[in-house]
Amino acid sequence: MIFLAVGTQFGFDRLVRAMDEAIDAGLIAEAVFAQIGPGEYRPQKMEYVHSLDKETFDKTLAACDAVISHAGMGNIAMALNLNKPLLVMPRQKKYGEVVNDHQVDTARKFEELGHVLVAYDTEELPEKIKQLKTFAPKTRVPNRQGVIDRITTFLAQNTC
Amino acid sequence: MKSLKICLVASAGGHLSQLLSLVPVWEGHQVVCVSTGLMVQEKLQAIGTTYIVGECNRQQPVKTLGVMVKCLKIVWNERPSVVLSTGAAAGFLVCFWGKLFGAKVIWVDSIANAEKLSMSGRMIRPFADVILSQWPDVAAKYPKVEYAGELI
Repeated sequence: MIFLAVGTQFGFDRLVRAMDEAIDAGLIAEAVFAQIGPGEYRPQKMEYVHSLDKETFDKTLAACDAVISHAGMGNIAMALNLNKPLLVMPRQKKYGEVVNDHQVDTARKFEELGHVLVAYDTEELPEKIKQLKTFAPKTRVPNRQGVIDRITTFLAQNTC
Repeated sequence: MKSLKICLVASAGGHLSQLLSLVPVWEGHQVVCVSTGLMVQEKLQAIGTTYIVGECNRQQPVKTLGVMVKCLKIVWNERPSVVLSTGAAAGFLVCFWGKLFGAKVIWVDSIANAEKLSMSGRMIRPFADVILSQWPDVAAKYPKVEYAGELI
């Protein structure tokens, strides 16, 4: 099962519609379960909900074979954590999907590091969905302690 | 080290989950939390007094004004010694008011900003006491911005 998740703040009709069309054209064999947020486009070819409570979301993510998502950090982090192959399509300001183009930057960066696949527009989607089948994401090892230490040092210097 | 009153502020979602990965930072200090959505209220109330100010972004000037007033009231009442934020707009607003009322400001730009500092980050940079980017090449672009690691 492929889990399509678009985040909670805005709908992402461009991606949802493209997925629907890809299924219709026979490009996706697996079942797709979609969380479409406050999107207006209603999928015809996949089971969908607007939102999921955290428990159900986590369960769906754990059970899926691959994730297709907007390039939101929340979904990227959660997929990486569970080592799920993830294909992202960044939201773009020019389509009214997001306030700025930071998702394009995020997508590019994480693609460079081997953590995600990226379809920058709907034309790239079918090819990238094919690649998703054999994509093995590189594990990410964040240096959280560095940030904690920097802040803790500052607090210690400023409290006497 | 004496106990400080630290105000943690982040928009619900990715910004907040990044902020909450910094738990050891506020151990032993008094904590006040500010976020933007009711769905995180319960989680934050387990950490400290919690205020939910609602969502706003740069495309909604009236909403932002409302949130700005709420943030001012919170800072006025709580007078934190430190404000720690990972963004976004509400994070900037609490940091801004906090600084005006004498707080130290620590800004950790969200990991999502992989090429340049967020707009809020750029706006708070003159006022921040510590400002971090989670990408070394982004930190290198701006005076004062440091790279110390990453949260995701």
